[in-house]
Amino acid sequence: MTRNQSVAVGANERLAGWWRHHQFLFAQTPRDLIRKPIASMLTWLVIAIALTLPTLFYVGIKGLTGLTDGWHAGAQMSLFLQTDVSDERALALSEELLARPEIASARYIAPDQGLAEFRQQSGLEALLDNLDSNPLPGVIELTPQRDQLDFGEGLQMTFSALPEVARVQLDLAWLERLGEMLVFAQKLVWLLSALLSLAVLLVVGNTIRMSIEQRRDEILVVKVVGGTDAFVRRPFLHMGAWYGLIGGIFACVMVQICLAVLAPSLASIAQSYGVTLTALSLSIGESLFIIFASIVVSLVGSRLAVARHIRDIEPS
Amino acid sequence: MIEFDQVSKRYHGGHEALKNVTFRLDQGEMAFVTGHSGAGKSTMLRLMMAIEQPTAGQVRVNHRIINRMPRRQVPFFRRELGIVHQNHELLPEKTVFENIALPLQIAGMSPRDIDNRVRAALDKVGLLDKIKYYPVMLSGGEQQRIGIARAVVNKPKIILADEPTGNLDPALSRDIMDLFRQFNRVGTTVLVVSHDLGLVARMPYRVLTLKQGQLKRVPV
Repeated sequence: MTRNQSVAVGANERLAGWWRHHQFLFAQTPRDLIRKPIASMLTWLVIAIALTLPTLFYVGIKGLTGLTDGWHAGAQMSLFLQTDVSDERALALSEELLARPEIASARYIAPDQGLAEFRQQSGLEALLDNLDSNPLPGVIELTPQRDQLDFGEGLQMTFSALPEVARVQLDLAWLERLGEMLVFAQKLVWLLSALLSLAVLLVVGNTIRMSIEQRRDEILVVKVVGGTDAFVRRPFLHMGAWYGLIGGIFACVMVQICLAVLAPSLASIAQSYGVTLTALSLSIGESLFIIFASIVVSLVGSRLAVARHIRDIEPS
Repeated sequence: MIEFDQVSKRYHGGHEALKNVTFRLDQGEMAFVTGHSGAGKSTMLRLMMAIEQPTAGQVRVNHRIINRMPRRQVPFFRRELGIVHQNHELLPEKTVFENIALPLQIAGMSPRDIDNRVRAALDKVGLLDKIKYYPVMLSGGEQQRIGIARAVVNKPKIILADEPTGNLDPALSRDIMDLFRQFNRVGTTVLVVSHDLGLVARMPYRVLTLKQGQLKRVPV
């Protein structure tokens, strides 16, 4: 009998054995975890909290980004006309402007109409009644095409040069600033996610390391009766995957609870600014992504822990 | 089956545990290794199990040379051995069935085959009715028999036993030895390490005596 004959179990048989062990562990590992409920629960909660934080930030930024997009789309440019421009000329001009490809709508507000609107909105009727003449100029309000969100200073210059136009007002600078802050916040979320993923990795790695220490005797026996390193590693990798799976699910639940708690007050703040908040929730796809990422990170943590510690445990 | 050819083992620090040991155990043979503690019995076993490698000479077990065996081949080599420990090394949180099933699970056997084999092994050591027990619920002699069942469940060609009766009274020790003789009678090579000279002397088998790392007497 040569070495090869005795070692060469068929490849199929080995694959079957590999699969049987996975099947066995799939049933066994949850039982092992439930047998130590407090330790398992603590690990799951730590993972969940670590994942909840960046996810909440992410959802918040997603909501704000939606808002600024809405404002950009609704951004307006106001052309204040010279006082000597007649209503007819102004209407003709607004028609001309509407013909431009960048412009989605143009609305002329005559001085009288403007005064009426102002009277209605400002509540300064008594004061306005004391005026001899209407001080307001005619205004053309322009909204850009949806794909033309950047109304642009070029356009502003062009319109300023028109003889009928006294002044062009484009108040988007603060929006741009908000946009920049959001980009910064997004980077912060990525950084936070990376750091807290590292935390998950370390927590799972450490938990697995302790679990390896606890099962030291078992590992020794397994090695003496011919268990390969892969066989010894497998239960711990399964354990890591379960930590990730349950921790990820807990994180999604936590995020939903936090959003449910925050949503009413956020909605009322938003309403006071005259905007409706949408998309302040975690979609199913995003939830699945979080669970998947949690599993992957936990698996990496377990793999690093087993690589580091299982080789050291050898029968003597 | 087991062959030591001028084997020496020197540990870091200079302690020479085995000095120029040569012997040969044929297939189907049964033999004892005795000696005081520190005489090199454990080292000899560790070499045979590929836990350690000799500093000089050559160790062959089951037609395989232990010297410089690649690390990844060691598990597969060990599956061909049945190893019985002095303190039986059963896992306390696993049942008798799970303990005995372990080598078969490692070998990737199907659950049905595992069930059959475990029952057969338990039947051989006379403890089939204890299949669902945990080791702590069993007596010392029963635990040792479970340990033997785990060693033989994979139908090894070689059984290596390290002081298998070390913690047992004489009557139980005889029972355990009878078990080994049964396995030997069906062709398994058996090597038992024991310092129980009285027990060894009553058995009709070859005795290898180690003294300070050297083999004293090799009756043919």
